[in-house]
Amino acid sequence: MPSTEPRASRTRREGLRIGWIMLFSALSLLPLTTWYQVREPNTAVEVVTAFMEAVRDKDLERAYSFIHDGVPAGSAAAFLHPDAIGEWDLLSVEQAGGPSGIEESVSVIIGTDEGTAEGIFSVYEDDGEYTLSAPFQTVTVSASSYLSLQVNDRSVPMPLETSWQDWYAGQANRTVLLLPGVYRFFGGDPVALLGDNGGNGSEVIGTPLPEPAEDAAASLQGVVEDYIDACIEYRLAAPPGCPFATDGMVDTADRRRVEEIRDPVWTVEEYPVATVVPGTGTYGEPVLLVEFTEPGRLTLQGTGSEDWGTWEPFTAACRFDGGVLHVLAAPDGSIEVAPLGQPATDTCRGTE
Amino acid sequence: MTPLAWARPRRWSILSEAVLTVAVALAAWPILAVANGEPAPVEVVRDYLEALRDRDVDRAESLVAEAYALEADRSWLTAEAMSSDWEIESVELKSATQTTVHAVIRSGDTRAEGAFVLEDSDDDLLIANPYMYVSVTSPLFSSLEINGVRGDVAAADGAAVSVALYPGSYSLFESVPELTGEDDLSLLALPGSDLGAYSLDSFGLDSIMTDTLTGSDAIEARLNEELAAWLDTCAESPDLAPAGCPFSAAYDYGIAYDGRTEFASVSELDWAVETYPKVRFNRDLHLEVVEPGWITLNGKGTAVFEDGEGTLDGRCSVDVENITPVIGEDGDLALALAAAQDNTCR
Repeated sequence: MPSTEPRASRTRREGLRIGWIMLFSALSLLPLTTWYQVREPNTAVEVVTAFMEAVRDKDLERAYSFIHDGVPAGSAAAFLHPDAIGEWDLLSVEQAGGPSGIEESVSVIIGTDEGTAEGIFSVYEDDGEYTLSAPFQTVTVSASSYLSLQVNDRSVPMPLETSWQDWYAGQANRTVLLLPGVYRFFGGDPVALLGDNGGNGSEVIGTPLPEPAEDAAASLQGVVEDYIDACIEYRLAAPPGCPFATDGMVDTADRRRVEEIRDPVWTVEEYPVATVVPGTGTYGEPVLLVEFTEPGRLTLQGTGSEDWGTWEPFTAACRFDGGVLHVLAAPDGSIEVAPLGQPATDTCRGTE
Repeated sequence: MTPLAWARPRRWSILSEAVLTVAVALAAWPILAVANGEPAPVEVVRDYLEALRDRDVDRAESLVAEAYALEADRSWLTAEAMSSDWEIESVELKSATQTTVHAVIRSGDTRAEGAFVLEDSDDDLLIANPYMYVSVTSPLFSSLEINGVRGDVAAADGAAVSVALYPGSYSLFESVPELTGEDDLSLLALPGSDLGAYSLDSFGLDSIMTDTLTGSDAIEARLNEELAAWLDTCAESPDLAPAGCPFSAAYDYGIAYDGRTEFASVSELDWAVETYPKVRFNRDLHLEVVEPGWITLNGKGTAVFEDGEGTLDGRCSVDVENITPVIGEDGDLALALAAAQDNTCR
């Protein structure tokens, strides 16, 4: 009896033990799979919710994982950055209409203290996995006197362009790619961007005028004087981008009218007094211009001819005209001057 | 009864427990492997970048899809022109797509980010945009030096030339400090830096060189020295329109014009440089005039519709707009005419 009974119960207990081990091993796999399932959102609404929450929490890596197509890199992605994302709340995410083909529409409402905005995102479905098809927002920011582009807390500098063509190509209307959300450009009014291909470049965001600090405005005179010094090096009738010029018909100091000139040499007698004034640029955008409250004085010397026959030396008085110069505010607060306005044609005739 | 006899396991129970452990491990393995390992596209790009760092051109090319290679000059796609002076900072999939891989490389303090697009061909993932390009539009550069490797870039009639380079770090005109100035001209780049697609991926050589060429007093001085020497040689010519020179007193039909009178025939022509011009590069990398130059012309000639000999007395300008500078191999500047020279005497 002691030999059979314990043997039988030992086998049975062994069997039970194996059974428990198998059960617990199987159970240990359950949490792994459940964790995996719970991690990945698996309906369109969940995916959009997870995406918007990730953007709001500035977790860009997680947000990108829900996007179907490639994410831009390099300079196009300058504002796909946590600093550029503002503060807003996710108010609701709902199905918006039934699936059409492989895409479903999801409507999202976000809000701040100042209001709410709604947009619709298309969600692409592939094999049970949902991804957003076009979540990036395109915005066109108008030309301005800022040498930088500021979106919420992110500021990206732009180089100073010294010819109108370069400036037009690089800066006149800049297209910026953003994630959905609420944005302030250059600290202006908030703009909500939401939905598929939102913005689409159709709305041009105006930029305000920079307000240069006092010491920056004071430095304008020095900047203009340096600019003029570089200009008078040119022995040309109309040095490029300069606030003075002659068209060849000069009224000389001894009251003759010269029809054509040669070998012009410019000398500054008195620098103009420059201030910054608000004005309008080529596209009606607000820009800062240079205005000369005192026109200054320069002397033009050369040889001139009244009849294209005989050439005689002459001297004439000329003044400065700031119309060609625009003021640009650099990100570090300093100011620069660039010839983005109308070039001067003649600033000599009629000088007092 | 032996104490704790029940605690001593039977052989078959040991065996089945062992089998069970292995089974659980095998079941858990794929879950862990997927969570920790790199997806295939990332591995392909990482392999490619590592092959480039090792300067192993063959290994790198084996990962490249040929279909979308831009028409470009491939002379610098060699191990010689590559440099290992950079590191891979990260390679990852950023969005749900499995065909765009983002990579970041670093050299010293500079970082460059780009995106590689992969395509599936015969079950192999290959890179569709493997190269970056340096585009040469201005006729200013007839030869390039990239990482010490020199070569000619013949831009046929103003058409832009694209030079293909492997992603990585490059130093331009290293051995020509007159051109680069105090800073080195270096480029650290990856394709796809703009839109992660088959975009231009190209860097204009002009914009890379603009600051150096416009900001250097040394280059301006050399430019003017070359110009002065060229004008001196030209002024020795007794011709009405010295060949290949930026000034001329010739008009159509063999007539000479000195700015006042037209002459049917001329003799004893004597050119002399009255004022040397002063020029410099502007931001479009063309020559701009700071001080115009003048060449005087003296000689004898018979005026049109007149008899008897008269004198030529011309003051002819130097046509700077018609001058094309060319930077050659050693960074030397050569000046040549862009088109046949018209009359410059007024």
